[in-house]
This record gives sequence, structure tokens and C-alpha cells, in this order.
Amino acid sequence: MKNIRCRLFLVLIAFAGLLTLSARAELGLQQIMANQGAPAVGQAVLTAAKAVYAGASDPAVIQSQLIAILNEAAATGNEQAIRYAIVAVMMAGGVENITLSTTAINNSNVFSNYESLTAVTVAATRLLLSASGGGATGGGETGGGGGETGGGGHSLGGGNNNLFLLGLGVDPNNPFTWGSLTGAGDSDLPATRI
Amino acid sequence: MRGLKHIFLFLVFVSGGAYAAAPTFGDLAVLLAKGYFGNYVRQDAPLEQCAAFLNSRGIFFSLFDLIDPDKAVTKEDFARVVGQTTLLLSGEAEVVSGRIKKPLEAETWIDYCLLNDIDLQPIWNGFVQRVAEGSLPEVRKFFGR
Repeated sequence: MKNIRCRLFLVLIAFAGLLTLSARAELGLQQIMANQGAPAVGQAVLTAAKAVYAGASDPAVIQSQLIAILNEAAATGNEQAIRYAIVAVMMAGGVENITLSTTAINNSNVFSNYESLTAVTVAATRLLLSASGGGATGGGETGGGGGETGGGGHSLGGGNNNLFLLGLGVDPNNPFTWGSLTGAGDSDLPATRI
Repeated sequence: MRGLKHIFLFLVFVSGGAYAAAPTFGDLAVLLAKGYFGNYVRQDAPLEQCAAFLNSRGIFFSLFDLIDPDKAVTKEDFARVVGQTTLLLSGEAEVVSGRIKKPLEAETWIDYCLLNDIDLQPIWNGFVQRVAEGSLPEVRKFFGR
């Protein structure tokens, strides 16, 4: 009986050790930051966070692993890297896991040490993810559905009475006019339906 | 006296540099969407809708780039979005993995613009001037400023 208890105790210790190890992210973000800069930190966190979402289904496990990654990002002390890490975690989870990602962010050192930066970044990323229909837009992936946004689906060639679109050159308010592409004096508007 | 003049000129130069804002991807997405695609994107559309529209058509804006207020748009980035727009509007766009592909004839997007008689410099100058005094209202709102 005593032997069984002893074994159970050892198994418990081993299990606790395993959990601690799995909750400790060791991505080497500090080194990546020093050698390659913040965008590389973002890519590393994106890859790790995707692996977390793919490898676990229990929200508690996902959250603890994401917190570990975010804590490592916070430890870099670089605001740009932290911003990239937040975006990467939210991108990896997508819209369907936005609550889980946000909870992990709010429970990590990223939030406790950089509260206002985190709040702004989370809000902005949430807007972008929602607008793009849930897909990740970055790090080698492109956006999801991203439906038509306003305007209506008429051909670009029809009905625009903006003088700058008629080829009068670069508009000081917006340089991106059809005239700026075709050159002044060219009034042929593209009729391609996009 | 001449020394004072030099100091004055130096101070004017330094202060001018300090106020000049670097153009960001957010500014680029808003102006591009509301300019070339003004018939599709409402003039009061927020940044996220502009970016979503462009991404859905293959003119790629990375979330990482959009969210970073310190990441400046390079000339090659700029040439890419102008080139992708040209391909999209001409009906020659080949979309691969959600992005409009650079035609093989050009090594870079700047080359593509040169080869297709797109005078990039005035558009770039217009863009830089437009955001010289700071980001667009849509971008400021996006970052909660």
C-alpha cells in the first residue's frame, strides 16, 4: 500500500513537472529580437501560437500555453515586439477564438506591464480580424472572406464624376486616382469589373 | 553673424525633420482604397474596411504592417500596391494564395511599374505630402488617438 502511494506521488510530481515545462515557452524571443528584430518575433510567435491552437482543444491548456508565449514576449521589453506578439496570437486563433486569445493576453505579463499598448493593439487587431472575415492577414496567409465593403458592385468605369478620376493628374487630397496611373489627359477609365 | 545664420538654418532643418511623419501602411490602405476604388469603398469607411476590401481583391496588406504605427512604407511596398492595382483594374491580375502575383517579366514591383509606364514618383510624392503632417483621421481613430 505504501509502495503504491509512493508511486502515485512520484507520478503526480512528474505530471506537475510536465505541466510546468509545457507552460514555459522557450522560443528564444529575446535572441530573435536582438538578432532579427520585432517582425521576426511576430513570425515566431505566430508559428508557436498556431501550434498551440492546433495541438490542444482544452481552453485551459491553450490559455496557459499562450500566456507562456506572451510572457516571453513581454520579457523582451520591446514594445514593438510585444505589439507583434499580440497580433500573432490573435491571428493564430482567428475570429472564432478571439475571446480565448484576448483572455490569454489579459492574463499575461503583456497586459500587466504594457496595459495601454495592449488595449490599443487588441482593439485594433479585433477590428481588422472582424473586417477581414476571420482569416489571418499576414505571415504568409491571406485574409478570409472579406466581403464587399460599401459602394455597391458596379463597374469601376461607370458613373464616376470625380474630376481627378478623369485624368487631371495627382489630386492633393488623394494621389491614388486613375489619372495618376494613366497620365494626365487620358480619360479612359477601366471598365474591368472587380 | 554667418554662424548665427547657419545655426538658424540648422534648427529649421531639424524641426522640419522632427515634424515630418513617416507614411504608414494604414495611411496607404485608406488612400488607395478610397482613391482607386472609390466606387467600391465608401468615403467614410474606416481603415479596417479599406484593408479588408484590398485584401479580398489580392492587394495584400499584412496585419503586422497595419498594426505597427512605426513601420514605414518603402518604395517597393508602394510600387507593389500600385502595380497590383494596375493588374487588377486591367483584368490581368493572377491571384495566387490570395495575392496578386508579380508578373515574371519584372524582377521587382518597381521594375514592373517602369516597364508599364507607370510614373511612380508623382504618386509617391503626393502620398508623402498627404501624410506629411501626420496620419489620416481613419488611422488615428484606428489606434484610438
